[in-house]
Amino acid sequence: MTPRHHPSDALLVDYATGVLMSGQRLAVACHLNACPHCARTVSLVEAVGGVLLSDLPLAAMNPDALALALARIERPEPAPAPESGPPSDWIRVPGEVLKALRARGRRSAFGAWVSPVTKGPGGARSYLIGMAPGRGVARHTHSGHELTCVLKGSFIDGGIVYGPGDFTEHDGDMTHAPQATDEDCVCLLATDAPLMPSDWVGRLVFPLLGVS
Amino acid sequence: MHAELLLRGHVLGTAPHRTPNGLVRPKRRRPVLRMTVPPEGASSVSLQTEGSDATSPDRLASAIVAIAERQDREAFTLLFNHFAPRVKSYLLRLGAPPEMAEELAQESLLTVWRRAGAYNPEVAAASTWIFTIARNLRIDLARRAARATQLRDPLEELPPEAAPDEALSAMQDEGRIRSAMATLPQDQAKVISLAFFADKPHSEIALDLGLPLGTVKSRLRLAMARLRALLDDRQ
Repeated sequence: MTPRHHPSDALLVDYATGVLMSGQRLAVACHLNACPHCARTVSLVEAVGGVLLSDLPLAAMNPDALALALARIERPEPAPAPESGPPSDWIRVPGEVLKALRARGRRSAFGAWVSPVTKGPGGARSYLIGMAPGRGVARHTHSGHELTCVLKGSFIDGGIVYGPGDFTEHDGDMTHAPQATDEDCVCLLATDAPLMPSDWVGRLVFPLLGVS
Repeated sequence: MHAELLLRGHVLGTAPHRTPNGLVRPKRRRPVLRMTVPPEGASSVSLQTEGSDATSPDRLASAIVAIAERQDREAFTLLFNHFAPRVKSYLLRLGAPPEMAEELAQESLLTVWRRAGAYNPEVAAASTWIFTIARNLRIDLARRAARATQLRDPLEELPPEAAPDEALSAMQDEGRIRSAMATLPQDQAKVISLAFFADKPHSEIALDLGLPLGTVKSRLRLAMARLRALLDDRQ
């Protein structure tokens, strides 16, 4: 099934040009794996990048650069080991996300678990968040930008159901409490500022889950 | 601003061969005269032929295939001489120190050698593929600078390859991409080129241009809609 909720064009452009880093980049990458439409938009921007690259004025390489490169290609470099795939009910995800899944502790609270994926500069973080059927993430607010991609199952937030590959983008000053539907749900969530619980349940639960 | 000049260069360089829907479609096999705007400070506009010389988009794509098929060192030399100075230029423009730009240009071309088998000439132009490699290596370097981790596969996060029925789209045709870019109004072309060379998210580009974020976003959206309409044959 193709996702119905997509990143903005502006975000896809930031992804394709390489401006988007770490956690936010991963969240968009997950969506692209599930969404041929957005993947084509990214390919389009990359093709523009290729043309701009072709037209750049040349920067002189060191005189021995080619000789060095020819020497380096003689040395065989093992191809990167293929990563094991995601669980069968997941969308395709980058290896870094699977690593976080494997590293996931057994800690869970009120039917939710959290496993950190990336830690960027400032408060930028990304997490895998799992929710048991019908359970959710405590009501929280964010001061920054929050991107979410559904990797498995579905959740409901503000009356809208988000399924595999669906993407949400929230700006600061928004308070919400996403909740899994009748199946397990796992999401990748990337923020550029820490999540802040906005009620007592969250204040109790977030430290328990290792959200920092 | 170079990038902007380059985009204007496309306007100048378009061989007007319009189809009924306004699409400019240069013929592929016939050599097409292309005008490039020289770097700032240079005095003349040079004319170069595209499609007939050793570095036409088709020849560059075949060179990657030749590496994949038979470890062709001559093909590698051609690609290195063509792309390494451009990749270095791209990285310098994004603020990389010269030694780092040199090393990443080296690393990008080595990746072309090692991963040539992953390249599909029917899906992407050589320049597109090499752009994504350079971009990913640079992101990876920034990440490793932030915290020590092992080198990742620069191709890992690339979206899945297009299915064969989408293969012969406009996206691997540099000529069509150039022509489509040439039709963008200048304010849209500017936000696109800044997106590539300013190394700033669109929110900061808006600040730099003194424009509301909504204006930058809508220019990006309009530019993307136009490029999609001209280039995405499945729309």
